[in-house]
Amino acid sequence: MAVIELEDIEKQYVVRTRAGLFRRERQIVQAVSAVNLQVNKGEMVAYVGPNGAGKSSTIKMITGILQPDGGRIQVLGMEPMRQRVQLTRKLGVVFGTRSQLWIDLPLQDSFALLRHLYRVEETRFKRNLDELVDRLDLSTFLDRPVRQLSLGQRMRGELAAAFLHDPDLVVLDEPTVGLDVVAKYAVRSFLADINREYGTTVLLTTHDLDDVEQLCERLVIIDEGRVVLDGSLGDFKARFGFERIVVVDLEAAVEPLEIDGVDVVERNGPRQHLRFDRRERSATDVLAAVAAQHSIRDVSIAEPTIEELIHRFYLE
Amino acid sequence: MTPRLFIEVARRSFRRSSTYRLATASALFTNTVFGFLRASVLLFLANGGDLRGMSESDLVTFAFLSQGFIAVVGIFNSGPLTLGTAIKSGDVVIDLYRPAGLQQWYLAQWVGDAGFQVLARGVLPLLAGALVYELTWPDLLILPTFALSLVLASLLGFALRFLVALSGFWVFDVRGVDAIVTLISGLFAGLVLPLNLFPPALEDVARGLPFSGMIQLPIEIFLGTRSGLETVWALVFQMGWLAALLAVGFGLLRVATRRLVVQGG
Amino acid sequence: MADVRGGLRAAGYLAAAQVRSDWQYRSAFLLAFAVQAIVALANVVAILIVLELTPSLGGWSRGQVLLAYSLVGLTFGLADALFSALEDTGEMTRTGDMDRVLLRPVGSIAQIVGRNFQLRRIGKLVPPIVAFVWAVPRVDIDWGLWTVGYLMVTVVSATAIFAGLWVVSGAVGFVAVGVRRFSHSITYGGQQASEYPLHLYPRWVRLVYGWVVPLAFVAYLPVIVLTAAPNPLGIPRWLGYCAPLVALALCGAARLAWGAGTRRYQSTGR
Repeated sequence: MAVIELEDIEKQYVVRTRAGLFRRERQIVQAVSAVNLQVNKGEMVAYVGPNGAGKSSTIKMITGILQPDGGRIQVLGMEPMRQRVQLTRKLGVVFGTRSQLWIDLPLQDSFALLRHLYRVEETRFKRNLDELVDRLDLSTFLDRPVRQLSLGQRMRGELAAAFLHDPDLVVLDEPTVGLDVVAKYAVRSFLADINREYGTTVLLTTHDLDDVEQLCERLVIIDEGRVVLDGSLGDFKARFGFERIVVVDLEAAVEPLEIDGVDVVERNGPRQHLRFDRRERSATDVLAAVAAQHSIRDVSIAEPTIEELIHRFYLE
Repeated sequence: MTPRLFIEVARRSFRRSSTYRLATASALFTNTVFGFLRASVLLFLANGGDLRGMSESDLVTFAFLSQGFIAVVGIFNSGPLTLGTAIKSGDVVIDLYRPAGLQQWYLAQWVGDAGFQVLARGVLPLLAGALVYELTWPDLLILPTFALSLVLASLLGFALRFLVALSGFWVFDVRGVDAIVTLISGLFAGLVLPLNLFPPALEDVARGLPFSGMIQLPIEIFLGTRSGLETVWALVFQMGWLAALLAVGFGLLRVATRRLVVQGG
Repeated sequence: MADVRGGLRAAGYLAAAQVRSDWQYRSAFLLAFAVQAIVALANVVAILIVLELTPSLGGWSRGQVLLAYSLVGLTFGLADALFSALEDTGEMTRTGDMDRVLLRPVGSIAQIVGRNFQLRRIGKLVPPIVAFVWAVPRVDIDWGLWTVGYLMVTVVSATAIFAGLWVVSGAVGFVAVGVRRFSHSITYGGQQASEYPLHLYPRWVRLVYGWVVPLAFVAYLPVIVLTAAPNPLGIPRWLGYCAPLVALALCGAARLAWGAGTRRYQSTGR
């Protein structure tokens, strides 16, 4: 069953820019053009793209707070704009950069308020809260004001807040931004567990490739308002993730290394960043070539970020 | 702070204020509407004659001109309040790292903004009033003196608001201090009613306070109700209070920064 | 109807939470309450000075003028305390808080009102209440069940009228952050205008602030009805009983305007 169905969704914005003292120019920006997307029940989809690509516009249209200019949209069998209030009852939304908790009140008070806002009956609320407290390990700071929580604790609180009313679809906008490794792990494993056990559909935007890698079978990339890729992460990497960067620390600062098939993309004292295509050369191969010229003190291999991959993808 | 830096900061502040077109236009509209409301009440009170030495056209001119003063002398300007909140949050250390005195820095910003407000919101309420009522226009020769008095009025406004902001070092609720100062300065500057209309004892008190230099005195110069000597006295009064308030601000800032440094805040 | 009840309940819970947060900084809260009370004094001081200048305003006695002031102060203060947060729609759009409001299954007005409720603003009611207590023995009111009822209906209707103005102001605020000050000419301007008897003003002011923005129903007509105050404009007395209808109509119109503002926000994304 399709939870989210977008058919040829369009969205334009009118932007007025200053041109001269009093004149303003009207400019139409196509934020989203002909986006098609279908997400089925129980899927966990990563929706990624650079800033300004149309990600948040799409999310706003899916959640019913933005009216598309064209196309057909259905979420949980409803029309988001027309049935916004009904839809919100089955929807959980987390913004990584914006809190929905009451900053000066103890965390549990926020949950109690949300219970009233979503009109969750007492017994169901108790059951859900107990479970969420357990899964997200909230018990030690439930009675602490939100402003005193660490970023990781707060995000766990945000997640609980979004799941209190048993949503069928959860939309997360950069839920791991700014978190440390431990907190990221907690967020990811919670999402994975809930998705597996309850079949909750999850749509996730992120800049963190690890989020995608550890959570999502499916990756949708949007750029300049268009879906440019819809497939599995494995496919994507196999097709475009063939680039590797080796960072070598040499004995001394030297001229950029000259090795066949390797570009020096950055040089910082004795440290050089070497880029190569792993289909043509292997890392050991490259390192051997470097070692033949200079002695190496340290080596590390960097994975390209999702932004770099998308950027690459465009240069193709 | 070099004059060059002062001018640069002021210019940026002028330009920054000029980007809020819609806000400026809507504030201008509201100022003008209030001008009409106040003029109506004053005209009713004058009942076709003079009121405490002010003719009908004097009263109406007072109503509209004082509305034009609001933004220039910053009666409701909580701009330096950003400093107050910065003090509260501790962000003030960023300001203190600048190689320019905190007071001059904010003064330069104030001057730039006030310069814009004179042009944008100073004159138009008066012109709108002139479309409907007969106003009292000043002797051209008095205009330079009026301009000087206006500048002093605006600087007085700054000195006052700077003190409000500095109170953030000692007081928890800067906004509360700000609200009370707004009330008192509006009332005793002559924005609510011209000071001549106050009961005599209250008028005497009001005329001794610095607020009268923000609206009442410059407008009296504009209306020509003050003699030559009285005009000079008005300017001296403004300058005296200005020097005093700026000095207090400077002193308090030093005490405050020392405290901040000692505390390592 | 269930919708309205749900909204009221939600607003109540949200407001209670807000009071609990405020209460954590108790002394600051009490201070801010006092500040609000002092600031609200400015209006009554101006009226007292005017009354010092002239013993009566167009035939209205001090008691009648101050009764009118207290009605305006009380009802505007109530509406301001409860609803003025609505004017920040422009700002909420800019920060994205509006999105969060729309993502919850409760009416947007109820959420914003509840979430921004500040008990300290009730401090504004202190001067009008004092003025009311002072004015009542100085005017001729034929006290009885009927007058008390009339007064109560007036306070509720007048509060609703001012509340409607704040809602409209919020609806306008969806257009841009800057237009907020434009609305102040209606909200604060309305408060200012209605503190003096309507017959003081020239015709166009009476038209705009008496009838188009229907503030004649807030204090001017009630004082005429209650105290048999002079009615130099010869307004039909029966209009003095129409405040509830006017309030209903205005609130209905405000609700429509708010809906239009929300839809605009949803279609432009700003």
